[in-house]
This record gives sequence, structure tokens and C-alpha cells, in this order.
Amino acid sequence: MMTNITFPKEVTIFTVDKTYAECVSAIDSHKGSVIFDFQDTEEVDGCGIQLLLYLFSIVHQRNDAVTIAHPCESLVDAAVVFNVADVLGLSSATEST
Amino acid sequence: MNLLDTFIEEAEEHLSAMEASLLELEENGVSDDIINTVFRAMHTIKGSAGMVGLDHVSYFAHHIESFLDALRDGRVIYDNDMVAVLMDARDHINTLVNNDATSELMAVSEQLIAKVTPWYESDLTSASPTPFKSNEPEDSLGYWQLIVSPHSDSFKESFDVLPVIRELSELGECVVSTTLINHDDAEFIPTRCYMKFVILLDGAIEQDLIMSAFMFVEDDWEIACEFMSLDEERRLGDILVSMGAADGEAIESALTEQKRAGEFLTEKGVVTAQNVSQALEQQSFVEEKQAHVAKKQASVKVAADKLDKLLDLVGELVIVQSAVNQHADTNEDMALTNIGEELSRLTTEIRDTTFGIRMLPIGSTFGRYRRLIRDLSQSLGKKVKLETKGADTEVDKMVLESLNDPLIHLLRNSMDHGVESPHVRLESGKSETGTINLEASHRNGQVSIVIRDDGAGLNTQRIKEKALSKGIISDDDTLSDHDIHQLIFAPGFSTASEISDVSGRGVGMDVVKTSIENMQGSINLSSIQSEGTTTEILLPLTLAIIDGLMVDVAGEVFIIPLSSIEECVEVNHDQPEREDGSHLIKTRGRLVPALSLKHHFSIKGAPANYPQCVIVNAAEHRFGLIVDNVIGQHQTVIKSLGKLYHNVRGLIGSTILGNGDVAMIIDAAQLFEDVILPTKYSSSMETTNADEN
Repeated sequence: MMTNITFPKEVTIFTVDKTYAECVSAIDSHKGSVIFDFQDTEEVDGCGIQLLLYLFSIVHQRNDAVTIAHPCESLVDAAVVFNVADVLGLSSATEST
Repeated sequence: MNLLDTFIEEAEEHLSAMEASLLELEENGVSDDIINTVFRAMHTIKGSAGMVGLDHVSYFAHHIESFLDALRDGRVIYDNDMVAVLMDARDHINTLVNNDATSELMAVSEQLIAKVTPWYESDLTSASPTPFKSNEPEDSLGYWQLIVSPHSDSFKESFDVLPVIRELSELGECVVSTTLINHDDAEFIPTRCYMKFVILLDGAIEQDLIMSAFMFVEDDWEIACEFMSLDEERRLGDILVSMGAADGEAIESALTEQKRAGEFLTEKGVVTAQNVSQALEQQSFVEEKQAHVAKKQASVKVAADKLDKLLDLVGELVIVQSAVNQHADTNEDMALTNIGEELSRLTTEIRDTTFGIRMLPIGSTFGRYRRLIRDLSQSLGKKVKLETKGADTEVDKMVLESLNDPLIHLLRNSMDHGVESPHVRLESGKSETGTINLEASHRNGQVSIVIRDDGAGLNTQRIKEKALSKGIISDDDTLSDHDIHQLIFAPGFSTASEISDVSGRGVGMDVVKTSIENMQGSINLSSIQSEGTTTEILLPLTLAIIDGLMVDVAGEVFIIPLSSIEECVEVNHDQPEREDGSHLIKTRGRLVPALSLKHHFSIKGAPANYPQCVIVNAAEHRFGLIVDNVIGQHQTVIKSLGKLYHNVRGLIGSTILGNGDVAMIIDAAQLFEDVILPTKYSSSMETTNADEN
């Protein structure tokens, strides 16, 4: 079973509390792999990357796969700066940009 | 080479770097970069001098280093007067390094120490200078390691970490490792900052620049910035600990089992695969830098005389190779011909490689000319700026050494006679600071060195009068301005009204020309009154082996340097030879003066059926050398003629041919001067269209 979580327009310090709560709830309530969908997202800041790293770690801890779909430019850019593009599975997106 | 020789050689390199930096300091003002370079030089000299037992050098360098230490730490405020004293100190160390500690030298040491001491007097009570810890280390020596833990409330206080890390990553080569630390899953608060960064940055980046990225957060964040030596091994476990991915104890305990560290630590759950991946990136960053340094250091110093010996041997090899080829041709021996061809290929490769080893960038000498201009500016009360170009141009070590004196003469002349004093320049509408350009480049397989000044230019009338008074020319001579300017190369010629320390002894330009010609080079001068003078020196890339054209003159073989040859044409029998052996050869619609080598060197023999004319270009003049037959190209090892033939003009040396015979090498420039130029028609004929005649 696969869980698809769509992220909001902004994943920043101003939205992470709400996003975190929604994501954790969705992850906890469904077993199996998870897809974080960024098709609606336009802005990601350092706080947003931190949230993603944390969410990835909790999914990995229960030995499930997690992938990011439709990464926006802002997400890829921030992942590159923090050198976490590999960790977040965004290497192919990095190469294409 | 013993330890002392090595020290002296290295000290000279450091002093040279110090001199260049001090000149830059004087010109562009103070910068950390310059002060650090000067400090590094002094620090190294002090330490090395102590090691080789030159305590008098070490003692003096110690005091200068103390002053420089205070200067770079900001305890002393830089003042322009300091450069002159530091320059004197630099010169004094140069003297100390090459001389025993006499009481006179020690007295000079004390005088200079007395000059710098007041500048850092307040620090004298402190111990010896702090060990060298560069604020801006050399790229080759290490890298910066930053461990950055932002304040946990950073995000809440609207300090995003992203722009800070981005700014750092844009400073230069860099590896960022990001980990989340100190969070409990049950209590993860998304607006708290759990991020920790280990950032490795290129060692060449200024520390101040790095720290400026933290300008607004340095009071709240934990920032450790440390310069790491490349000598230190960067172990995976240590990296993971510095990243905060695991504590040292956990790593230690996990590593008691002998397995690959990263794999094993991940298996044990001590760290994540991502942590290991980032740590490995750090390791490879350091390893790449270590490899880079190892590559840079993979060079050895070789004594110059060994290189000279090697070149001599290559010369002998070239001769033997010619002999083999000639023997193969004479005997029509195919097997030997094949071996000869292979030998030729290898010889050419060895020759080129040997030349390559001997090639040095001309820029290595530019520093001393800057100093010369600076010192002369001060003594002559002129403002002159030296602009250099083409410092990377490589020339043979021997050429570079021989070039020094002529260049000093020319620069001194530009300073003394060329560039005007500031008030004269202002009166003539020029800026008060004159410019001397020193440019080097490769041109048509030769090295071109141009010295150009924007000074007063040559005074044509005065040169003419002087030449007349000295009997160098007569009233009947019709000379163009350009020809008159060339008269300054005549022996004993000088227009300077008084003899100065700088120039004006009337030997300078003559010596310059002779030196250049001895190097098989040429010198050309052009000048425009009130605008300046340009002198171009053209030199062969090397002085030892040249490519030449072998020609036959009544059974005698001559070599004409290929670099001076423009073309070969057949001599038309309708063009009669004059009594003095000169001809006029029509080529490409122009008449070119030509000289018969047979006639010039008084070689007896029947006239050739189809004589050839080799058109050469010497000092921008075209003229022909008439020979019986053109044999072909020849790799020519130049041998000096010896004392007996020292005064023979028109020959630059000799070479040994493959069959053991000796062939003379033609000096086209001298032949032009001695034979063609005095006939008076050279320049006019060369430029006259044949049809008009």
C-alpha cells in the first residue's frame, strides 16, 4: 500500500507546524511506502528541508520506502545547498536542473 | 647540494617573493594577503637559518618577524614608511645569507632592528613571535573545517540557515554535511532548529570572508572554524563524530570488530547510510586536495650545471644521429636507414624534453625589474610605473640569464633618458606618472621582449649631431629618422650631457646590442619624439641547438639559421654580380640586395650552374645570401668558434656534420651590417618597386 501526501504551496517556517502534523498523521495511519508530492509547492526554506529530513528518517525507521514526486525548483535548490539531494532521492532532479 | 646550499636557494626564492609583495604593498596599499606573504617568507627564513646554523640571519629575521607579526595582528598600524625599511631589511637578509657575520653586518642589523623596534615596542615584553598561524593559509597546505550548530530558536527568530550555508558554498570549493541532532522523535518540534553542519572549504579562502557569512548570527550560533592540515588523516569515525551523527564511544565500540567502518557502523545502527555517504564525501574532498598537493610537490630540484651537461649530451646525440643517417644514405643501407629514422624520432623527443626542462617563465625575473624601477624612481625623482605582460612566456634558462643585463640597461635608459620628470610631463600635457611596459611573448618561434616607455622619445637632431661629431656618420650620409635612431647602438655613442650612475657612459646600448646578437637575437628600436620609445628584442627560444638550412658554397657547407630565412629563390643569370660580390635579386616584385657567400668568404671554385639565393630577414631588413646549392634542413648543435676565430664577423659559431666535417653557421645580422648596409642601397632598394626601376 502506498501513501501519497501532497505538500502545501509553502513549506517554510510559517507552515511547518501544520504540515508536520498532517504528515505524521498520514504516515502513522498508513503502512507501506510513502510519496511526498510537491506538485503544489513553490517555496521551501531551511526549516522545510529539516522537516523533510525528519519525515524521511521516521519512514526509514519503519523500513518503508519514501520518495518525492514533482519536486519544485526551490526544493531541489535547497537540497543541493545542504547537500542532501541524495538523501532525499533528488539526485536525478539535480542532474536535470 | 648540501643543506646550506638548499637553504640559500630557498631563501632567495622567499626574498624574491617578499620583494614582489613589498612592491605591491607600496603600490596598492596594505592587505592581509601581502602581509601574510611577507610574514611567511620571514618566518621560514628565520626557522631555516636556525636549522643550518646561520644564527646571525635567524636573529635578524626574528626581529623583523616580530614586527610583521604585530602588523598582521593589527597591533601595529601600517604606514607607507615601513615599506622602505622592510625593503632594506630584505636586502640585508640577502647580504647576511651570502656572507659571514662580520661586525659591520651585525651593526647594520642593529640599525635596522632599531628602526622597526619602536613600531612594535609595546609588544616587546611578550615572548617570541607566535608560531605561524596564517589567517589566510595557502591552498596547498590545508582546508577550513567549520562545525556550525545554529541556535535552536533560529527558525523561530526568522534566521533561516539556508542563505548562510548558500553563501559559504559560493565562496569556493566546498563540501557540506547536514545532520539533524538532539531531537527526540516524540518531541520533534518542527520550528526548532536541529540542524548541524560540517563544512569543508578550500584553504585559499580568507577566514574573514568565511566569518562574514555569519555576520548576523555569530553571537547566537556555535561556530568553530579551524584550519586543518592536509598532513592529518581524516578518518571516517572522526568525521561522523564531528558531524554529530554518533558519539565517539559508540563508534569506538562498534569498530572493535574488524570490518569496513562505514558499512559496519550502518549495520550496527550507529549511523545512517546517509551519514556515511556525507562523511565519505568529506574524506574524498580531503583526499583530492592531498593528491593535488602531492602532484604539485612531485618535482625535484636539479642543479643547473647538470641540466647544462644534459643539454651538451643531447647535442652530441644529435651529431651522432646525423652521422648514422648520413652513413645510411651513403651506403644505401635500408636497415640502417630504418634505425636512423627511429633514432631521429627519439633524439628529437629527447631534445624537446630537455629543452622543456630548461624552460623558465620570464616572469620570474620581472620582480627584480620592478624593484629596479622603484629604486630608480626614487633616486631620479621621477614617478614611473612598470607594467608587465606575458610573465608566463617561457624561455631557455640560458637565454633568461643572458637577458638580464641587456634588459637592465634598457630599463635604466628608459628611466634616465626616456621618462621625463613629473613637472616636465605635466607641462607637456602628460600625466605626472610615466609608464614603462615590459611585455614578453612568443612570436614566429622566437621570444619577443618589448620595452616601451611613454617618455620624451629620442632626440633625432641631437643624435645626428653627436654622430657627426664622433665621426660615426658624415655630412654626405642621407639617413632616415629610423636610421639615425639606430646610431645609438654604435660603440661609444652617448648623448647624455653628464655621466650618471644610472646610464650615460656611452657603452650601454652597444653592450646591449652585442649581448643580444651573441644570443643570435636582434634588437629593433623605434621612437617618436614626445611620445616615447619602443625597443623590441627578438631571441631564439634556445641557444644550444637550432634548426638550420644546410647550403653548399663551392664544396664548403654553411648553416643558415632557419628562423631568419624567408624563402629561397633561383638566381637569374641576367642579374650580374658586382665587383664586391653583391647582387640585386628580384623577388616578389621587389629588388633585394644580395651577397655572394663565395665572394665574401673568398672561397675558390667554379660558378654554380644554378645558384640559389636564400632570402633572410635580419633586424627587419630583407636581403639575400647567394649559395651554389641548398642541401636541406639540419638540426644544428651550436659550437663556439674558439679564440682563434673570435674576431671573424658573419659567423655565430660552427657545427659538426654527420660525416664529422665542420660547418660554419652564418650570422645574417652581422653580414647585413658589415656588407649590405655600407653599400647604402639596401633600404632604398628593398622598398623600391622593381617596375619603377
